[in-house]
Amino acid sequence: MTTADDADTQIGHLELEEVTRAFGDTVALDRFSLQIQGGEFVALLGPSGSGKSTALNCLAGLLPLSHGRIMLDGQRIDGLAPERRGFGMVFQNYAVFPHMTVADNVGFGLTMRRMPKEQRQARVDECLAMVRLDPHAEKYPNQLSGGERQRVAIARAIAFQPPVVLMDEPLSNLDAKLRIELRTEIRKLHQRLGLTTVYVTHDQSEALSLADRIVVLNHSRIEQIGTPNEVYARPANAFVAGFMGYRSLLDAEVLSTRDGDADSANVVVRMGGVELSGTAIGRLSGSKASVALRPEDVTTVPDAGPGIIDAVVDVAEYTGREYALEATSTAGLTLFFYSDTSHAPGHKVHLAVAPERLLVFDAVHGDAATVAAEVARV
Amino acid sequence: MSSPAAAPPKPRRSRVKQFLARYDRAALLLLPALVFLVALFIYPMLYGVQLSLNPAEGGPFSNYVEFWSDPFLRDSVWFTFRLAIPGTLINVAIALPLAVLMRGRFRGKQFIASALIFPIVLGSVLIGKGLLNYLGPAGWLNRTLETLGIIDQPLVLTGNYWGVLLAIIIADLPFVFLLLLSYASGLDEDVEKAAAVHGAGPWQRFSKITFPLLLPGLVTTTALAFVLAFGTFPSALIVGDPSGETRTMGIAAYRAAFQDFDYSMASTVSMLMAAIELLVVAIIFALRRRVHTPTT
Repeated sequence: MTTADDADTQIGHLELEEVTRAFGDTVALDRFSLQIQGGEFVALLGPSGSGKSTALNCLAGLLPLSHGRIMLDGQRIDGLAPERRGFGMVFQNYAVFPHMTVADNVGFGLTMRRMPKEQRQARVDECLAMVRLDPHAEKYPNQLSGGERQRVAIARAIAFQPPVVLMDEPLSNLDAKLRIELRTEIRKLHQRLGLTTVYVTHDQSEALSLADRIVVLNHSRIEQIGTPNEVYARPANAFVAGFMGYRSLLDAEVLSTRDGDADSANVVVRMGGVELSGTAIGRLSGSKASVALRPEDVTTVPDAGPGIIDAVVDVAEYTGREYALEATSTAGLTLFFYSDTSHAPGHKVHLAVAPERLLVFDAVHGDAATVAAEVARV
Repeated sequence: MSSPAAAPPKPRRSRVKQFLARYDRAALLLLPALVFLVALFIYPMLYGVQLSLNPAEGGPFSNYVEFWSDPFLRDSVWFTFRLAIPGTLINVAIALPLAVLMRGRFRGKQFIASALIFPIVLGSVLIGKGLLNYLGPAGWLNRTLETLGIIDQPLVLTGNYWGVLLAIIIADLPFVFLLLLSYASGLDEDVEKAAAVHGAGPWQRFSKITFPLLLPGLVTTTALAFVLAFGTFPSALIVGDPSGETRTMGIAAYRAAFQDFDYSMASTVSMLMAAIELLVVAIIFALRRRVHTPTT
């Protein structure tokens, strides 16, 4: 494959405007608006039922829109049948054609586009080499493992150089080791081919490691759009925080806020009897707030004092690089943190959090327990 | 297990116990089914073979010789095929698109499915009698067509081939449809979606994906539809011309048994019927094996 080929199929941009999908009274996707630049890798991240797969199916043409528009380089495409959009798609359960050989599977899009046989053959060989399946060209899918089948599906989706590749939880059916391997392969393919990709997942680590931009969804709506770093370091609300690995979600009372200083240490909260200064994200409307903490931002300090939480270790797990610990404070707060040294259960620890890493959110999503339940809805 | 050195000498077990020990006791649950199979299928079958080989006169095979030399009997094979093959093909041809289309969810699906399956509850005698009234010279169909001025003379649809063919379609279509529907419902919808996204239009999706994946089920269904149609009897008697062009093998056997009281000849006809059905089914399945069908 040459880079010139890729440039031919490269899109300028794909735009979704208020895309809405309702089944009767239930709205599966509510005014989803997103602009995707050519070559971008966008991940739609959310728990099950958040609308992420609905968005992808609307984009693929497999679900009609109830409202809104989809524009590809200025052309409206939401009325087109899936076969007229020219996209590639990878499904969670592989969806390879069981009655066709691996080579015929990969060449399917090319056959449909009436590409001459020799050209098609060459292109199929090239794609099979890319996913390292060249020795299996004449096999049938039932002779392959799950990971190999998904690689066939990926090759099938990219073989005809589609302007947009859609991936619907492609790694969810694979075991943990294979998932990481194939994730890296998808990343490599994207780096090499630069195909515009929309990737649906409920796994935050997949979204963080693959995407240029992440769209976090919950309850059919977009919660936040941002780069992986933005979404991870500055989640827009308590739900996104919970979904992005902020394991401790705690209820807190707002004591004082300081305006003007938008980014750090602009709020003092009381949480489990301890006064802590933190960083408010967005406006705090009342005295109730949710505090989100990542385990890596909680550190142990030698002595007790103001702004320090005293806790007792409940569980210590060795992860290989460090210890992952769970502790309960004197007031009953559950905290997670990492430590290089082991602490036996029952051991007393003093925990501190840097003010810029103690994120305080308005309690619009309900109390911390409600948000935690939302996040766990995978 | 203790170590072999400490093991006491094995007590000798009876042969029956040794035999039973090798089989799972749960296999005994098969016994009732086995009894039924022997009592209701194998014994009558062998009894029939035995009857057919003991004709009223002549050697053991004289009935078989007579069947193939007597045009009145021999032609029943042709009459049966002439009904069963078109009946099978028409049923499969009607049921296939219906089964493929009935997989999705849409308004009125339940109603259409019920209407298609309903004839199952009607006995073949009821269907035959109903057709006689509906298609007869003074039936609703002919009267409607005459009133509309489409025909001058009533169409002759009863007492001949056409009535029986229609009866086969009405009585057997529900079975063929249900069986094909279960095969079609088993197909992975995502596979067809993948075909659509990657450029296959509705016809290409059917011809390149749905049909090839459905083919093994279609072959099995065809075999079943053929066996059903080949055994047609009540409708051939009621809406057909049982002494003429709808003189199927079923009717030939019935005549031999209950008009000529020649049970031996009736058994012979039945055995030949079974043999022909078996042969056709064997041919159909041999063709099926030539179709490449990976399991998943």
